[in-house]
Parts: sequence; C-alpha cells; structure tokens
Amino acid sequence: MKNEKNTISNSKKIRNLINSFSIFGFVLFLWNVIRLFSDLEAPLVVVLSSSMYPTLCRGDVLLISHNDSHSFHVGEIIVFHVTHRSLPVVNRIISIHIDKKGIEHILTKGDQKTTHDRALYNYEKGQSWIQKEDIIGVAWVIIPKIGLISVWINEIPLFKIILSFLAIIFTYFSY
Amino acid sequence: MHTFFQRIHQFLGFLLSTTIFIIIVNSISGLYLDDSEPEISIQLNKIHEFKNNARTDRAVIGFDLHADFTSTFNWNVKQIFVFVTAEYQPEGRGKSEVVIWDHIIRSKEEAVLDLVDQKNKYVLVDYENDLRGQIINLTVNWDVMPLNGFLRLKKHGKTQFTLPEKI
Repeated sequence: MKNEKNTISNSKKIRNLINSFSIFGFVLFLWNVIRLFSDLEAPLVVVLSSSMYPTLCRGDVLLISHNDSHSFHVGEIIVFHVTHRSLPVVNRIISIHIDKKGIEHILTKGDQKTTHDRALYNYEKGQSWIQKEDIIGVAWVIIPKIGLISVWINEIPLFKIILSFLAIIFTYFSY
Repeated sequence: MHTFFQRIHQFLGFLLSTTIFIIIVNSISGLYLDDSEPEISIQLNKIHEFKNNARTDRAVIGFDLHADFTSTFNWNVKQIFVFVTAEYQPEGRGKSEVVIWDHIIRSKEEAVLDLVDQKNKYVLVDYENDLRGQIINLTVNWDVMPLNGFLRLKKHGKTQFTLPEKI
C-alpha cells in the first residue's frame, strides 16, 4: 500500500515540476519580449512615492518604454533620474522647450502638488530643467497595487523574514 | 491534492493565473471601449497680466472652457486628467509646450466642465524669455487613466491668441 502511494506521488511530482518550469519559462519569455520592445534592461517600475496621487499610488507598477528618437509631449508620465538621488522619480511632464541647438528642456511635476519638481533637480549646479539623458522611459501601461509586495519586502524587514519562512514551509509540504 | 498545504498551493496558483488573465482582458477591453469624442470648446477670455519680474516675462491669462467628458468613462477608467497647454514656436527654435492648467475628473458625475475666465494655475514663462508678440495656441488635452492597462493621451480643441509686443 505504502509503495503504491509513493510511485503515484513521484510521477505527479515530476509533472508538477515540469508544469512549474514551463509556466516559469513562459513568463520569462514574455518578460524578455517586453524588454526587447521597450529597449530597456528593466522596463518594470514600482511607484514608491505618493507624489502622483491620486493618479498613481504607492505599489502601482508601470511598464515603461525607451526610444532614442522619441520626442516628448506634455502630459506624459516619465521615470527619470535626478543626479544626487539614487531612486528614480516618477512624475508628469508639464513643460517642454526646445532651444536653438535642438535640445529639449523638460520640467516635471507630480499630480499631487501644485509646485513643479525644480527643487528636486540638482539645485547646487543651478539645474532648472532635465534633459533626454536623465529620462529612463515613458510609462505606457499601469498595473495597480501588485507592486505593494515589493514595497513591503524592501521596507519592512520582518515581512521579508516571514515571507521566506512561509515559502520554505510551502515548498516542503507541497511536494 | 489532499493535504492542507497542497490545497492552498493549488488555490493560490489558480488565483494568480486568473488575476493575470483578468488584468489582460481588462486592459485590452479598455482599448476597444474608448472611441468617444467629447465635446470641447475653449477660448481666451482675457489676458490678465503680462509682466516682467526682473528676470523673465510672465503671463497670466483667463480662458473659457466648456467640456463634456461623460462619454469617455467606461468600466476601465479610473480618472481623467485634463490639462490645457499653451503651445508656441519662437523663431529659430523648436516647439514649446507649457501646461498652464490641469484638473482631475474622478467620475462621470464630475465630467462636465463649465469654466468662465479660469485663470491659469501655472504661470506661462518661456525658457529663453521669448514671449513678447508670440502667437500662442491653447489646446485641451486629456489623459485617460485606466484601472489597469494602457495609458492614452489625447487632444482636441484649439484656440489661438497673440501676446502683446510690449509689457
């Protein structure tokens, strides 16, 4: 009786494993297609600040795309770097000017505030605008709230520990 | 599937795959549901001030805006971000666009805008102080923010006016 039960379990185990691998493989394939399309290493961004509330909340996930020949328009939601901050900022373009050399100068603002982001730019060097080089990409897809898990993992250490513990228990008992 | 953990595992797997499926269907349906063309009319009411503050020329204007966005709302719309842009092209340079006013519409009930002599929220200033005598196009743009899915930026409605040559 016990031997029979074991052999059934084994083939089921292998099937489950193959299933998991193929789902994983499919997701990996989809992920790489998106990466190829958006020309970016990491086309997925989790919104961390509430500066774009109520449009975007903390934990919302954005898919961004990057195109070197893209000309920006006001109203686009962009993800950009500010020189002295490590985390990229997600905000909306409110002003674009093209100077005599053809370089775009862009000003951004979060939806929640009534003041623009100029204070965030490199103030000591007198930077009043951001340029194309500072911009990582333009958002084109929103997926709400699923990034909250990643936010919790990063900000609450206890959550990370509990989650890893649960994952280990799960894998042990499921197979 | 007999043990407690196996059942939870099965359930969570199912939950994950159905959620992904719903998100994809929702996003795509949002694309097809929106083929509305809201009625919008905008015009300049008056130029309130055009002054220089020792560095740059700044313009404050009032505009009339009548818009009806009720047809744009569908099950996949979280809110509509409406904004008015001042577009112009100084000589020797490319196009400049400045958002001078914005507003968030959260539901169908709030979707009718009837503004008279609305002052701009954000001051109109040019990068190289090239505003005098400039021909300015005011356009109404809106960003349809979905619950999940694709972001779409649209524009419609235009009016033109010229800023005075002298302050």
